[in-house]
Amino acid sequence: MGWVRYVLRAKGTAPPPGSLPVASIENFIAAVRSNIEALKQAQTVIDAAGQQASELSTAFQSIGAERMASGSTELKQGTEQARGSADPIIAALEDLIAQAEQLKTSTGPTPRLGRQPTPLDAAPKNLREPTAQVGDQRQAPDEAPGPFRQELTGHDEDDKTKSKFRRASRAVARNIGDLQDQAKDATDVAIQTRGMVDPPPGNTYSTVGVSNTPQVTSPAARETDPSDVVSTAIVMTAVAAEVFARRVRRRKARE
Amino acid sequence: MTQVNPKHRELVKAIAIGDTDRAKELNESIPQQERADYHTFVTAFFSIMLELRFKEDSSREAIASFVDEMRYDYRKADPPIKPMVIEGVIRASCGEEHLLDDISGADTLAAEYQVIGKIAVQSPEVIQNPDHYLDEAEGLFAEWESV
Repeated sequence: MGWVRYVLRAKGTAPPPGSLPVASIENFIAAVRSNIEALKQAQTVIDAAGQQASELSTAFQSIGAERMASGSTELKQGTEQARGSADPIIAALEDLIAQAEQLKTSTGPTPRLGRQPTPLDAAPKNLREPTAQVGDQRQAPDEAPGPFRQELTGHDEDDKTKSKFRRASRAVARNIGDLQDQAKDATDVAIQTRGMVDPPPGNTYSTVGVSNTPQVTSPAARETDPSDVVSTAIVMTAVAAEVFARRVRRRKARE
Repeated sequence: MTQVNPKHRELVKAIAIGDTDRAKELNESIPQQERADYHTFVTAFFSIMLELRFKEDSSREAIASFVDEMRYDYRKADPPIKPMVIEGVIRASCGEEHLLDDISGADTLAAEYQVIGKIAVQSPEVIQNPDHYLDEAEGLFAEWESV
């Protein structure tokens, strides 16, 4: 806990020399309060780091990088642990303040014959006890993005859909590769197919989007010219024969 | 920064705007060793087209009804299109990359071309100003190559 000691030393203020004991107690309390404040600030900063880790995890999940995602989740848990380890220190410091308050009221000239009741004893319990306890619900950091999150704004909101396609399509490109000896033919077939695209006039689909009609049909599609059927059958047979011949050739080439 | 081969760009443009004669001619001129890069650029352009078409809604329902439209648009295509493959490739481009496990490279490329053709033919802005979208695709291509 070296960093805690560092924070405490940095934030502690020495009482002015020659001051009264009560004033010194006030100084002590003020010093301890600033310690607590510093620790809470440190927790807020850790929260910001945790926030970044969970955003990373979400980002990795969305691109399917499971190991990176679970690694980021562990980072997030680590920040939570680090943050939680400050809680007992804060509680201990708050105890110190309560003790100092009691000390203040018992420093009067009253002879020390056993413990005298103090005004604090009459106070309601919530005033006598430290206000914060270990495990208390803490206030979340402000809604306004801190310096860490400010850096990230715009990356997410603006191009959520944009980057989704741009990221994921990379895997699609890898899935194609160079296609070896099929490459030129594949594009030739695609060029031919491109000439066949024929959307309905005005891009109005008569049956698309209507439920319970899984098959898209249209008057144009139903009017089948018998000669079309024959020529389609011939072309299909030719294609099938070609595909079969290529498979045989490839298999032979491999042997 | 990796540049896109101008011929690759020309070929994708010819296919997008439907200049099939020019496309056939250009396809003859691309050597085998350039094909992997060319396919990557086709994919980049495909990705830009998806972005244009599915900007508002990239839900599974939106993709399914898009593919249903394609069944009609390509009813005269021979060989016929493969709607299930097309749906798989589009969804893979939305993040479901595991769907590619069952889809061959040739089918993936064919699906991309068919999607490009459909979106382009129904998007006047692509037919009128294809270079804008080709520039976007070049940017994406360079981004992929630089990582």
